[in-house]
Amino acid sequence: MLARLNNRLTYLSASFVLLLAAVPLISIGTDRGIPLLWWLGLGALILGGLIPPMQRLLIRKPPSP
Amino acid sequence: MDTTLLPIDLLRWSFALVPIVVLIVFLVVLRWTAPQAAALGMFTAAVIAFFVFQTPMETLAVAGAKGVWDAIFILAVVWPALLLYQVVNHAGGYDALRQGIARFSRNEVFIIIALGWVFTSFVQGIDGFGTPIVVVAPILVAFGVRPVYAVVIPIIAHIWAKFFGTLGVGWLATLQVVSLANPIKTAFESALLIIIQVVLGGFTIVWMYGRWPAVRHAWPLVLIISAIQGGGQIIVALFHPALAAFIPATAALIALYPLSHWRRYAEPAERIAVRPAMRDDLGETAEDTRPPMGLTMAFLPYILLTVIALLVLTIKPIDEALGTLSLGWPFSAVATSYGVHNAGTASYSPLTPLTHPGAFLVLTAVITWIVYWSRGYFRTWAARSEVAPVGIVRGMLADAVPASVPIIGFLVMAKLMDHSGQNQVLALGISAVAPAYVFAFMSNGIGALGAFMTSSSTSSNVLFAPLQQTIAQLHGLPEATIIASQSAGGAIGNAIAPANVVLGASTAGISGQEGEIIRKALPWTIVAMVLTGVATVIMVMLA
Repeated sequence: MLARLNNRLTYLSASFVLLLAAVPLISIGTDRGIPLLWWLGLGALILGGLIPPMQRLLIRKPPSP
Repeated sequence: MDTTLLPIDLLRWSFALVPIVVLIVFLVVLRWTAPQAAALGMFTAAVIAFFVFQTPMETLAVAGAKGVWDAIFILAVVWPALLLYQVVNHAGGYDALRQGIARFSRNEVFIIIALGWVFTSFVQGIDGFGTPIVVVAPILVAFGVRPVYAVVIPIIAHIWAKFFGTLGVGWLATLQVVSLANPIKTAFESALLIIIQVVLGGFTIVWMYGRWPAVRHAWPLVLIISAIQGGGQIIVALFHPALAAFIPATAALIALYPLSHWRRYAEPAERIAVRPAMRDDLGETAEDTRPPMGLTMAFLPYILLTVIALLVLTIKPIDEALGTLSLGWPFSAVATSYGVHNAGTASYSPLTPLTHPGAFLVLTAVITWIVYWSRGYFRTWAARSEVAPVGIVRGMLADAVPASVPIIGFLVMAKLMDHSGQNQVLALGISAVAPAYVFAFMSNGIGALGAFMTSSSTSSNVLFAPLQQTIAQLHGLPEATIIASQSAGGAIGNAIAPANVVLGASTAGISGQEGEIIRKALPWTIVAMVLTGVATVIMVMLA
């Protein structure tokens, strides 16, 4: 897991996918009144947002290009 | 949006400012990368929204998802623009551009002005969402401009065309959100204030290129281009505001031809000894590898892009037919405990992908790839250049993903601040303590704040123009002047908007140096805001 955090493209791709996945989950969840869905979307949003700063805090050496 | 319950006090105003301060400090001062700083700004806005502005989790979730969706409008330009960049780069197009432009004129200042200012503004006249930056930055890098300056120069130089650019999108959006007693007066006064951006932008990029010797050499050219762009915008704004950027930008592009024959700008400027914006190793690399194509073929994508955009946007039946495909997500109504309501919608901010500039870029990239492939440019360039190509799609992904994450982060932060009432507190707080003339001076700063957060002058006006109109009425200020000031500020703020900077950095090959770009653009932004504030006060006094 930590090794993957050292590859810039890999961890940012994971972050990107999670952030994008939040849109349909939150949209459908709030529009149709399904709390589980929008909570999942919010979780994806938080996790996707956490990855870049976590990479900085957990991996000390500079990321690969 | 109902903001009547929102308490406006110093404590909450200070908290509302914290996400912006955090973003600037971590990005510019502490030099965190854009994805890291954007995420931090996003979480700071969310935490303050939850604890200080009493925003429920569901509202935070909806705001976050809307922010991601807002970012799609920018990403739809970033990804195709990077695809086009990779296509041209893998065929040796940028080396062909560099060598071809050098033969076209031997005067570097003239070329910097032609590409970085005039051509960028022309692209902004028809395409928005950062297209001018991503198109011009790699061309300037190819010409020998240092990457940081290759991003800063087009960003600053095209600001003047923001409000009336993209065939008047910003202006038309403003008319949608505020009911103006005299729209033409507002358009005229906006164009009047934007003159500052034209002149200041022109002189700034020349100064960046070669400091004061360059300014002494280029001042007649800067004033002529400024007169065409700025003066032209004022005149056209009186008759057809939607074309107020496009027509003068095109006129300036045409004027380059006779101006290039002026002896002053046909020969190298010998007296410019220091050129901080230029790379020192340009001459050596230009000699090394002969590109497989000439200047015309290297410019083919940009000619194609212009023709496609003009065809789609100016021929109504094509525009209407392509505009029928529309994508948007439904969201329920949400609110905060302070009564900041956001209505539910069946299709939030629908995207019409086929009339979006991203579609023009995709089509341009595909046609360019077919033409270059049929002429064998990719094979020839791979054989001649010693650097092994990484592949067009792989190269695009390597640039696009790192650029996309921070852009999403910035837009999510902006939406969280909007839905929690932080934006309103910031604007209303300034209004509450500032006397009428002070507010008039600062009104363009509110516009700049909106653009800084959303990376869009249009979004800034949608966000703040109604608020500015209300405050103008409360202070007894002329609404046309205040909306004009908001619009001018909305354009200025784009110069340091992180999303613009990120996408410029990604196409110039300097991802991670966003803070350096902002540091270079910040002084221009501050001077432009101060001058616009002074001009606004004078206009209010004369009204």
